[in-house]
Amino acid sequence: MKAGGFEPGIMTVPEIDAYIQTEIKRWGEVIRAAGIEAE
Amino acid sequence: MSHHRPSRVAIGLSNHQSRTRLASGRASFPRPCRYRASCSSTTSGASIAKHAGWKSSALRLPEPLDEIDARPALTADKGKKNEKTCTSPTGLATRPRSYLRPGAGRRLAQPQCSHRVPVHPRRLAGQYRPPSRQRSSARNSARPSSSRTAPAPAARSPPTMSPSRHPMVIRFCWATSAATRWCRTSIAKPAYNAVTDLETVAWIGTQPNLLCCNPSFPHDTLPKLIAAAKAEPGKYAFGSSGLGTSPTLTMELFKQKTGCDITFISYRGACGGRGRRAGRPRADGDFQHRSADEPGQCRQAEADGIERRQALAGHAQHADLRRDRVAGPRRDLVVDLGGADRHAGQDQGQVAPGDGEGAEVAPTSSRA
Repeated sequence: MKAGGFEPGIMTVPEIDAYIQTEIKRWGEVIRAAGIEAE
Repeated sequence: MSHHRPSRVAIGLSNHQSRTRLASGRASFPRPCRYRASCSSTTSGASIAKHAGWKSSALRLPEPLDEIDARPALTADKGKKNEKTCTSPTGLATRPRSYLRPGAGRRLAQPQCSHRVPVHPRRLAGQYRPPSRQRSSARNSARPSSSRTAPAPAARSPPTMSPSRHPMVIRFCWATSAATRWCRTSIAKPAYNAVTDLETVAWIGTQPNLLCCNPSFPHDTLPKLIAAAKAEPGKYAFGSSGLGTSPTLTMELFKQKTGCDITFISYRGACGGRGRRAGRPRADGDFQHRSADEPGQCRQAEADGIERRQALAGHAQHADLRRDRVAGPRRDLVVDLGGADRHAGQDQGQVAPGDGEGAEVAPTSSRA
């Protein structure tokens, strides 16, 4: 995986869920600032 | 309408198909395009750059933008209402996940599993099927439990899908990034809520988005690229395969952080000539705008902020594209593609759909 450019990592399921929620907030701000709208 | 200088930058998503073509030496690149950058979300951009002979190390994100990948400290919120205590005697999650992989019902490898697992209001349950049937599976899961077809126990009827589908399934269910979940424009009317209906499986790692450029491009480092983009706003463009994809959003974040005015060109569909169009000069500041119901043709849109919309009112915007589906394309946004269009048609006869660089396989529906 590393040879292919992938960066392995491990998270527990709750950590992933928390991370996803954080990412949603972060990228939501980016999307709103860029004016991207869902079709 | 003011005349804009030709775009010289194009950034494309490099997916597995394009990587395969690159590796096999069958890939073709748009000659007019002096600068290419690749944002890879599904494979290694470094590998692509290596095969393509592009300069990549100097443009690798996010060196100058550390905050892009600055992940917050993750802590499990065990006080959430949508969690319940796992009743498994072993403490491992044993919920049916037969749609994820063969051997459904087997416990997932979660050595760090706590005894509290998230429980979503709805989740896809049942054997994994190809996408068209998977939607039916999602609808089935959304029905009342009384009319729902219970997922088959894995031990009795293991899924019969081929092993090659496993990574795709995992990627679909897990690696759907938060950004893609949020801006799920790649699916017309999904039968599920991408945020709440998909169940977390495992975290296996991350992949960087990578910027690559043609060796002939002078601005071959990020500082140079940023300086050039700031010096000549609107001159450069980047492309990605579809709105809402992680490369697109990554570049939007890049623009916001750096203040660069780089035009986004969206590609959806397997158009053999899209790369050529990416490198073509824009006519009168407009993108080549095609009706959404022309199969095989790429559709290019601009997805920039409000400020840019006001500055470049003549450009095709999302609203214009939505209008297409109702009343057809705006006449003033349709331009004569001329020789490039014919050339693109020839390409389509030579290149199988989805084989081109930066391509995502186009949806088979009429929606483009």
